[in-house]
Amino acid sequence: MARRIQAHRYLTLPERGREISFKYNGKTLTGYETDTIASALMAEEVKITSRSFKYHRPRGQFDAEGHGPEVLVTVDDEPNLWADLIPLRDGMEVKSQNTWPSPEFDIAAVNQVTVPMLPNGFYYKMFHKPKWVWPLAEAQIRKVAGLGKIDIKGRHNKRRYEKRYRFPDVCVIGGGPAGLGAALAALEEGKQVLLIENRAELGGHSLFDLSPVSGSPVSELNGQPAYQAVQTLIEELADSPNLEVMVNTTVFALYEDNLVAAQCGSDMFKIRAESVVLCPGATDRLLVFENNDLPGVISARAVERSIARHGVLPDEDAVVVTTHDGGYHTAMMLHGAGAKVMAVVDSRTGNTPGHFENQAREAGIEIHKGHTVHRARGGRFVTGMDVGSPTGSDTTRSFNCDLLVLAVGFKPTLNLLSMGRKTPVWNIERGILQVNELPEHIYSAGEVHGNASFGRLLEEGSTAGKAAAQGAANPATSRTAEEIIAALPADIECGGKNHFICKCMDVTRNEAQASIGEGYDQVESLKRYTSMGMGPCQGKSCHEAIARLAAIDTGLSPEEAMPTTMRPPFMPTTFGILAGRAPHLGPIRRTAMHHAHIDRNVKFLDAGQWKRPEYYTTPEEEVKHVRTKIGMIDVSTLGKIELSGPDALDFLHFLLPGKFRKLAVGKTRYSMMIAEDGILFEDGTLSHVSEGRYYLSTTTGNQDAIMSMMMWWLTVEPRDVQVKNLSGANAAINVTGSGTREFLQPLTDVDLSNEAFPYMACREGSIAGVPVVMFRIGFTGELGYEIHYPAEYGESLWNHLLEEGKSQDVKPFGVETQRILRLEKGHLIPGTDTDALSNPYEAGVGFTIKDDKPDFLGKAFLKDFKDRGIKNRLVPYVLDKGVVIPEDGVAVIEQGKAVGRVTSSRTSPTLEQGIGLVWLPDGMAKTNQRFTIRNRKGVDTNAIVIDHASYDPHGERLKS
Amino acid sequence: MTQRMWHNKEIKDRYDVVIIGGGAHGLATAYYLAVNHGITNVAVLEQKFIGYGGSGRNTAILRSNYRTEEGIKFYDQALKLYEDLAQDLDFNLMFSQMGHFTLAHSTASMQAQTTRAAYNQACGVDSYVLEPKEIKEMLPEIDITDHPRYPIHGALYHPPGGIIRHDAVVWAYARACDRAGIHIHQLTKMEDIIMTDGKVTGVVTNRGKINCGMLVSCVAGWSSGICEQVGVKLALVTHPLQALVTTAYKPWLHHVVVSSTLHIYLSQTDRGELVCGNGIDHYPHYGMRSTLSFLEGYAAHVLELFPILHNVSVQRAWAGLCDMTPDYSPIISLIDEVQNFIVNCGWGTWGFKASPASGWNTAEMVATGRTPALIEPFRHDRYIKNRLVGEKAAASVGN
Amino acid sequence: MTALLKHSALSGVYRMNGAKTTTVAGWEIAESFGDTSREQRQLAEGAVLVDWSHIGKLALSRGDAAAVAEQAIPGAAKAAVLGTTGNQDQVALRLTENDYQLLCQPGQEQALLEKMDQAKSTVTDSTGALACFALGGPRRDEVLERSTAVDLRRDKVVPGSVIQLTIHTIHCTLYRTENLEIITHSRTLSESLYDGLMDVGVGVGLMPAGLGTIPVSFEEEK
Repeated sequence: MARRIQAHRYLTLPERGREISFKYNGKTLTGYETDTIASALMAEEVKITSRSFKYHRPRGQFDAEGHGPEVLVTVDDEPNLWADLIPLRDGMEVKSQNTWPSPEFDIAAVNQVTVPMLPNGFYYKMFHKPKWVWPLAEAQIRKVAGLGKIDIKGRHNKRRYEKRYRFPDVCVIGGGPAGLGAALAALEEGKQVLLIENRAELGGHSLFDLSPVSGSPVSELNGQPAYQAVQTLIEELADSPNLEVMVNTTVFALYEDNLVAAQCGSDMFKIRAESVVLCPGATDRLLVFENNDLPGVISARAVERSIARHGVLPDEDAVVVTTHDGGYHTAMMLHGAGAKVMAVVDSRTGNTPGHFENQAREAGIEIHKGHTVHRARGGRFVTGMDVGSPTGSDTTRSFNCDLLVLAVGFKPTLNLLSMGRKTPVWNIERGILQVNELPEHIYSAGEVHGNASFGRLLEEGSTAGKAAAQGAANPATSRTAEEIIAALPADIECGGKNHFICKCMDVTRNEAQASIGEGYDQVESLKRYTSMGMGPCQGKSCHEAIARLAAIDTGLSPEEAMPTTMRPPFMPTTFGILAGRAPHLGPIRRTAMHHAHIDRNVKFLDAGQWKRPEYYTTPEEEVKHVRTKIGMIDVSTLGKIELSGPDALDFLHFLLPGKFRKLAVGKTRYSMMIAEDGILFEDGTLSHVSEGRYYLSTTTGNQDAIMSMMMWWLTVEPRDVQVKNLSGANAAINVTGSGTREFLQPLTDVDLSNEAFPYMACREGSIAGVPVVMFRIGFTGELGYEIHYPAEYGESLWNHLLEEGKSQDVKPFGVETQRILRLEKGHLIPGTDTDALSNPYEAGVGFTIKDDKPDFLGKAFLKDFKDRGIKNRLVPYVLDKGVVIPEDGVAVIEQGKAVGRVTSSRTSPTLEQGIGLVWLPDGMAKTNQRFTIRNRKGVDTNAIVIDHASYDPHGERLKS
Repeated sequence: MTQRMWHNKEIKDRYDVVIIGGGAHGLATAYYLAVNHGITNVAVLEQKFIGYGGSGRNTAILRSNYRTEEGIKFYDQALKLYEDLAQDLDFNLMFSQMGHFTLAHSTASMQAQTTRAAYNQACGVDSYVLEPKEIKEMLPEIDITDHPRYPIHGALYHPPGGIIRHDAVVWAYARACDRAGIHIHQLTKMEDIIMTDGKVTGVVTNRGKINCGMLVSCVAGWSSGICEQVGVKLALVTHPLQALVTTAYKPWLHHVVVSSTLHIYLSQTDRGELVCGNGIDHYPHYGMRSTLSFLEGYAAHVLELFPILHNVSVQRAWAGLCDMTPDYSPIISLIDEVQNFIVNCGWGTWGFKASPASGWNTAEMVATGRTPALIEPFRHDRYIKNRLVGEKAAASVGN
Repeated sequence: MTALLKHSALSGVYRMNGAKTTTVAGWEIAESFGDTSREQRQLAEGAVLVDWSHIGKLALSRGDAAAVAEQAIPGAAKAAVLGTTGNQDQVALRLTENDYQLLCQPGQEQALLEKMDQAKSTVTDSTGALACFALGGPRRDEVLERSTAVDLRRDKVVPGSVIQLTIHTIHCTLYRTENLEIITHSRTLSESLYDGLMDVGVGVGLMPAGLGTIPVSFEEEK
């Protein structure tokens, strides 16, 4: 029975702190503020903490490292969290997962009987014949799959996630003896140090190490027990001004250029360090034997941590299985806590007894040399065990114990050292996995190189910390083969079928062997076929066991049998943490008139990052208003680029497909832009504003691309051109409607008469004292002036015009309205009516291409398109009156085949009928040709190709 | 006693056909050579283990709702073959035709989805456009409000689309090949191509020289290097594409959800993990590492669609290579300048779902020496003649 | 007719927060957000954000930018790259070997422009295209730490230097003085940047303040 202990024979227990109450599966339990969820559950005698993934076998705490799947719980509706890493908080609600009704009595435990009766890899061999079986089977599988439940009712999260940044000179990861040594050494070198520890306190495993310290580079520590020496060290560090310590912080990834990604609470820290010292330590090895997954089979350090840090004795009657003196240390820890240590089973024979072996003997603990565990016994948890020779051949003894402690050596935590870059290799001589070579400015120290004394670890950390501070080469580890704790001679094969290699995915050694027999003799394929190592622990528990056993079972060498790359993240990390405060994809761009639009109840439209007015009242009403009165639209989002200098015209001739030598001052011309591959991607206007000064306006979406393209070409082929991007500097309004001239004339010093300022001209002047450039262009089909002026006047001039225009009923209109207006005129919009394969000839704007001039962008491909001839055409059409308007994008159907597509389709409020633009095969794209459009619902509509724009076909209004 | 899936065999001196690349395309080609054309003196060479490349690194999504007639017909053949593949190969491939959403977040994207639906329907592929509230009925957890930066305007829905156990496809083809007498040589790296008088006559591998009648390259991301050896320059740029899986949760998502605006592919496996894919990385690269910025970007984007996922955790991230072509369509082609050589590549982000059709038609090309009509548009020389396939027009489409 | 006012991109923010505005060089700009003494207290103890969007801003690039900058602000040509030179009324920020940003007191940009030979470099008056925030107060570093991935530790980016960076994904130019971070950025994104800074600034008590709390000056009060 687990219980809290009040005192320990060999060490001083830490203060427990305040009592805390929490809920577990609805029941109220108590613990202390120094507890983790797992230690509190242990003290409350919760032995079975979960059910396994596939067989629903009972599972209990194993390593207290946040590695294994045994302690995955849901905490306050956050699923799949490791109970052994999370400090206990008042009122927290903890629930077990993948089990019903409770971990103790789990209905699906029937899988333990049924699943092993199926053939190996049964999921690939069943349920697919006949074909209809699989969907039914799958539906059942999906009902029982998975671990924790996502709270699908919880809408927006309540947590406040933030991203934060640190830039230490030296970042030390791991607060054990090596990490502390590294931090101290780097501080001594005058560096800024960040020390990160994933538990609530610094000290690592030394916090429960009873060994007396000797040979420490810090002499005052010598003679103290390690668990006290480490406290001395921590106190020494406490006041260093150059040190930042982050506890309860998990480093989940390490990327190129020393980018350390860590999580602390709801914050993600992105740390860029000059040097990184990795001191992640090591954890107890997993031993594979019959029933090695039963609750009560527990790692040595989990036992020691539980007793020494939390004052919780996991159970009374214990047997320790070991291969080194550490097992005796664990036995003494148990003994000192008042447990009954029935035996220490040591696979070694004839070694020189270590410090703790001698102590155990003195304490009268039974010792069995040359023996190891053969199997654990028990149904729902350990009730006994058998021991015998390490070859597995003869079982000699049995114990009726309730705790089976595994102290069979350590496996280094290599994930951060490897991190998808450096594959660990198996060191045959030392019997461990190691990462031989680290990238520059990354250092490692401590137990990750193998077990050693406190003094040794501290010294090694110190050496690495100093090297890191100085940017020196990574000091090679001085460990020798003898210092490494040998692995067991073999994992024990003595019958049974529950030798678990991978507890996350419930993979046994039998299953692995059977799969190898089927031909999955490459470790990578084996892993994929069985899924071992692919569960929540991502191999942290089983990686080493897979390598060890795969080597034996496949007959490959241990080097070849290495399982796959260790990939980030090292600890599962939530989307919330990774996203941070990034609730949207990009910042919002607002024009200078943004708030004036809001005042008029605008409906905004997303156009890239921009918010643009879609409409204010209704598009229909606004169209009619523009056609009959005067409308104003905010076109500030247009790109506006000014070009001047001796080579400006020459440069424009290269960029644009037209010819502009005859473009006189004060004149404006439409211009397409063609990409290098001959595709039409942009239209805009080019104006010759004053002598040698050109003003190119571009569409909203392409302004950055065009600016970049200009800079690119000016770099590739330098020309003497001044390019000024005025897109942000200028606001722009298009005022349009037949009464515009009368409305604007009193407000400006520019002569607006048709003679002085004709269609396709531009003028500089001022309105209400604001300097403006005006362009007389007509996308809407009405008389119109596009006014460009400094953005800081954006709001004032907009409001001024609306105010002055009140008597003439000047009203704003939006982008959707403009789209209808231009459609009535048959104007195309690149990107809407064209796509990444549309050439200008087929789009009907071939007239803008002057291919008789020297080289210009896209010329070669344009020639190819021209030679090939027209296959399809973009043409305007009308629908019969009263017909339902098809949606943008629907197809033209001819004899059951899709032969074309509608790109823009609207009701024309002016003509009161459906209009649009359509791509048709050349043969069909003829005036008065009837064709069939099939709308989204599958209803067919007849349409007729028209010759010209449906509204004001000859542009009389435009030019009036 | 379990039966072996495949055997490790001695390498012969000569095969009629040598296929480089033991992924789904290479193995499918070998399989259809055997079953459709009776050609079994075939070797598949794999430098690592079968399924190491793109076949083992994709998001396992199958669909045929492409944009152009060429694309739709080709991928529809693939999808139809996939529908019966588990029975044909007697291997449960766990093909779950759960339905596939392509979300639209702008009017432009809605237009594109509408066009796809129209062309799909005209080609007999089940595909139609949904309004936001219809999406919400099928995916109650999705956020269709105007809270996200780019709210959902609608979606293209493709009922036969879904996910499959991608590794199983490789194994099932491999087993069928093995049973047909085809040799699969793993850990066999092709080091050189032997040419005689403009003809490929064999290859040199790390395990020795092999003569062959016909050489087929099915190495996707590694194609540029292979083709360079025979002097063919491909219109390929290789980019990494990153993906991730979360830890396992009780299944709640029973459809594939794709958003190209947000670079999101999302589905939930029968084990309960969410499989998440991204758009390709912007930079060309042969590295297969994942980056933090990918994780951050994906997380921010997926929360736009499903805010409930904020405490769902990422357990593993990886990257695969995408051999991107300029027109987002593959290259399956004989090469005029090099005889006895067929290149099958340019699979970008659309390769896995094509595997059966790719193998079927490549095998026919090997057997007959002619280009089957279905893959005529995917000839290599279209880049020289500027006759691109229109799939790029659906660039807003993605996987 | 009264002349039209120039507005800052934060004019909507002013309205929503009841700012008291003043007119400087034709610009309507916040004098305070209601309580100057509270803003000053915040400047002394926490962090404040002051809209300086009305300052003059000129961009110089290509050609012989250094020589042209020198004509406007003596000493500019000698400034180190990522360094600055100037006085309380005007300052030249050297962004690259051949790119400058010149900042000046509101309304002074025309005078600077007239001193320059604009044929020799591309000179753009970006007074209206760019917005500008001055960030002050002892806790402003904490706001920035949550806002940008760039290392802005004071021993790395020393007062008197300039750096280009993204803050809340928005491209900015940050000019550091002893007491202030002067951040110019696109006018169109100014309200988004404001929202981003305020959002992470809640924890450290960042609040908006007016010219009454930090008047425009490019040199520290000694």
